[in-house]
Amino acid sequence: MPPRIQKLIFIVISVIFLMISLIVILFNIEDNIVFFFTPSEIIENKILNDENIRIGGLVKINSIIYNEDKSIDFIITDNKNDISVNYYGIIPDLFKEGSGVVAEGELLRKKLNANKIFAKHDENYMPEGIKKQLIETDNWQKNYK
Amino acid sequence: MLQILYNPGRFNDFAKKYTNILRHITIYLLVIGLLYALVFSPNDYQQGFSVKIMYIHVPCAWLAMFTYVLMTIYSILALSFKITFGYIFVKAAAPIGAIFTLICLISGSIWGKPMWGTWWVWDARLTSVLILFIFYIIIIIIQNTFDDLQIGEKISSIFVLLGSINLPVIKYSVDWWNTLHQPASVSKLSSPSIEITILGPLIAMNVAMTFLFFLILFIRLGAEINIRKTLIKD
Amino acid sequence: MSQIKKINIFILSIVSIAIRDLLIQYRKLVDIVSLLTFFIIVMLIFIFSIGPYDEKLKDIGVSIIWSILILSSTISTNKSLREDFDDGSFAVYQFAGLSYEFIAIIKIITSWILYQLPLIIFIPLTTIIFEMPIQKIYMLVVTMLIGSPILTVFSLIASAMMLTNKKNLTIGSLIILPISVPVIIFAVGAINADPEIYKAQLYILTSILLASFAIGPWIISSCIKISVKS
Repeated sequence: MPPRIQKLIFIVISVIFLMISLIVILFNIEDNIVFFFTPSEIIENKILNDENIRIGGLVKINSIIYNEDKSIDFIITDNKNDISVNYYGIIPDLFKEGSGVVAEGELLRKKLNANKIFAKHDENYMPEGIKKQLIETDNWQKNYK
Repeated sequence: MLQILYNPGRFNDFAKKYTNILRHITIYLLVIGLLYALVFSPNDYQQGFSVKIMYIHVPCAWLAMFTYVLMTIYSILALSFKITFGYIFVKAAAPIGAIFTLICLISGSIWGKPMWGTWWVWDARLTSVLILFIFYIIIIIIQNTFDDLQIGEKISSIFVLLGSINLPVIKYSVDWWNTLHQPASVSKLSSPSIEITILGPLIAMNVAMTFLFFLILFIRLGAEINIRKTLIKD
Repeated sequence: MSQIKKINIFILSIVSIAIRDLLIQYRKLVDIVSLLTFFIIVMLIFIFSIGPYDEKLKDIGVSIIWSILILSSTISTNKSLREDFDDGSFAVYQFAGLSYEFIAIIKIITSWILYQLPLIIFIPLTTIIFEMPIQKIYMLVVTMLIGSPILTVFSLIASAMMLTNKKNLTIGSLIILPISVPVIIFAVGAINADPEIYKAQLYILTSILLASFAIGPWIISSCIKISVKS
């Protein structure tokens, strides 16, 4: 076979391979590498106990309880399902009611004993002054969390 | 005119003429941008003062990617059209990109400690940027190991192409997987998620840092071209 | 008629090169034995450094085996390309009418048979040490069958890049390690994942395999061309 035809066959085969692999990757890429699970995923998949798991979602409004032994209790929600969390340790700055959070720890009967929490920051940035204005004029929307 | 982009001689003339002007513009822009970002911009409603780290972090992240994109384009030009300027470009740009990636990683983890509560997590965005940094380092190493300069630069260009697979992974990692890192907010067109008083200094810093990048790039490219000239003379 | 004859000769030359390659490497059985020994020793080092606690080892056994697989693919960064380059066999292949891309594919197949197949046969035996459940061993073998050709392609890419480099021998492995990060992520992810998502991870691993087969020969052949021309 002359080298030119060899090359042609090669180009065709590799383009086909590449196309197949790209299509397969694009169809399967989402939600395989999980940094955290959402409460709904935990409840739907019936994971009750797990030694080391990360659960992410929003901190439910009015759910943070500061205990006497300096640990805190709060509830992670994704607006469908809830997981209650107990945590003892340093709290990051962005940890607030209604803001995003990822907790890592041991899941025992749908209750998470977290040994680490990460506050998740969203893509909204706003000056302090404007927030005050928005609240005063009742334009403050919860989806700015 | 377009020859500036791929002809070393033309580029050298262009760079000699305009590097000084570029230097002045860069200094003014940097001073304005830094003042605007660090002094005159408001604190964020959640992050407080720490939002100012973003004004360094975001331009560096953008430049880290931008440098690699440019290097990829020039590697393709060099390998397929035998344009030697491409190799010169890759050699000059790689260390700049590596430094910007490093600054991006460090500033990100300084921001992450108070905000997220951790210096580092292995989520998709952070990991892929770390791999970008490793790619930059390996490119620099390959350029400097071969006895024959030409083989080294060709092989490093091939490696640049191989590493360019990482770029879409970095860009879309926050959309494909649930990461701790927040999704993009500047390029999001649908709804403004950054208030104008924070977006303004961010864009100013982006422009200033991009000018800084081009200034360093011009100086390094000029030096690299001169080294090659002397090599040819010998 | 003559066309068929030409194709016959072409196929014959491919087969003969493959057989020659296998024979040359087979005569150096020491290499394969040393690879297996390396595998066992690194595994022992891991076990001693973690401590012989069954529970822990059960959890991370898969990750250890996969990372040793990648490490061993860096040390076996094939000498076959280097030897052919040094003794001028590439020129002979060219006279046989083979393009470098075909040579690259032959090399991928032969060095997979020589360096990865023994490991794939051998590794399930070593999982006894970790007391893994049979399901995990099965998944381990499946991911190794899909993933190890990718590692072979990567190690050949690295050794093709380093043909004319005689000073710095560590770069070969430096090149392999970062590009094989996705392989280890999806392979170990597939083994440890829940039954619903492991198939998606296997699909991604397979598509990485296809992509590496599509791109690999081109990169290897262009690197060989660059090195031969100089």
